[in-house]
Amino acid sequence: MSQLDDIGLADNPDPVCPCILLLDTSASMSGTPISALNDGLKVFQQDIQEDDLARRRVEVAVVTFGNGGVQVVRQFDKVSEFKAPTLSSGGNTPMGAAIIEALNLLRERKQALKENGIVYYRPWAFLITDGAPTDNWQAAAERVHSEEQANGLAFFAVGVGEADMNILAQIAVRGPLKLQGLKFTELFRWLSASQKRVSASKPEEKVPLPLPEGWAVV
Amino acid sequence: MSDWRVIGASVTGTSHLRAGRGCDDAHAYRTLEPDHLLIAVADGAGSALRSARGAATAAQVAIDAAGHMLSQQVEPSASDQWLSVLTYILTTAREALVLLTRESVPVASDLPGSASKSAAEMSSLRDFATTLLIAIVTAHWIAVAQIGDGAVVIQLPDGSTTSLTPSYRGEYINETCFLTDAEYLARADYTILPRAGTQGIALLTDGLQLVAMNFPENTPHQPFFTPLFKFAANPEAQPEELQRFLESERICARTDDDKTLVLAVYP
Repeated sequence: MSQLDDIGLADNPDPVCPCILLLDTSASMSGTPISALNDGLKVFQQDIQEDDLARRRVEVAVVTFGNGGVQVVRQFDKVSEFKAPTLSSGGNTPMGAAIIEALNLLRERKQALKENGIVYYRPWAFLITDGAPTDNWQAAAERVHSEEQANGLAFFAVGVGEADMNILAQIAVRGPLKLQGLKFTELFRWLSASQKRVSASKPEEKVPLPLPEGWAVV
Repeated sequence: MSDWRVIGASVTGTSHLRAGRGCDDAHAYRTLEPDHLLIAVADGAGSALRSARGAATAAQVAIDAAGHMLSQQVEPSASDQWLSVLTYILTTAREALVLLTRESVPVASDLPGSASKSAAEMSSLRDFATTLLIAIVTAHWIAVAQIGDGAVVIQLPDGSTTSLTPSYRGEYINETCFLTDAEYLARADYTILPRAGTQGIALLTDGLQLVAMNFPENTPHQPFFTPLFKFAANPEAQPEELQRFLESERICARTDDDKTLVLAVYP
């Protein structure tokens, strides 16, 4: 019998790792691209839900832009409850408005967490697009820059197919990556692995993410 | 021979085990005549290639520097003197990391799958990034310096515990500062106070903070520390028992980081 059997552990709420997905569902995604994206989301759900800590810590929100304009498909909620949506395509590409919406959601979430005394990790925003914004995106870019400057989030962008990488580079200070073909599955596996890493203790500025080889054009 | 009873353990977190890497935490302690106690704990940065070495070096050098100062000089009798001692210890520990960068031996980094550095390549200081917490207890004083996260908790004669660590200040729980940062002295927290009957002290790295401290205030969780101090006071307590506790299912379910805990009790 050890004296150490009776140690009480503090009952803190799990720290939260907020992750927001910004997904292009515009008309150009029709057919194979949107289908591959949907498959990728299923893989993300499956993969991340296998990890105990990630299940408890990661919160995912999903904002789409394209079909139906800007849609908040999922509010921030635990990834343990995440059911991969089946997205359909149509419409143009209001990327600017979607980014603003996402940043607002993030700000509200941080506020709510603070008010409830819940600690959190620096949030991630992950934008995937196959085109160029059809709306005013400059204001959104400025907000991303100032958020990054203030260390308010880590904003990543991935371009697919004919995506305008130039514009993406002006929005995402962290050099956008180009997806190889339609390797959404590999991309979402990487994202899941990265969120698992982030949610497990202490990554620093230079986060040792799994290398994005296998899905990114290098 | 000092009367302090000290017991400590550093264990590898399950996330490190999964990734095939070892423990990036380290600790060191020493007792000195007549009744001085020195404890250091360090947590190597996950993203730094050689942080395990950094942490081990920082902890050991901090203890050596502290021991050197206390044996060579009259014990400080005022806060500002203790501040000089603490600053000296931090500076010396950092210097030791700088010296490590001048080694030019081919080494495999601590991260599996990354390329070995060639003989010509020198490590950069950032490769050895680590937090460092150091506590010195004498008959009359407690002096603590801390760079980065982790906690220092003392037990008062009535059994209550209190934290000597600043409450969590950053916006994010997963960002901290390191001994290798350029502004390390400015980012260090110093706590110097009269000993006033304190009879127990514990140092831990952040792998244990979630289960040992109450968030967000970062106050000690009494039901965690009371039995642990009791354990440490037992002359038959073995470090392996402490290690098993840190590696136990119930701890690992809450945190998969490396964990270090050093407990000292003055009977």
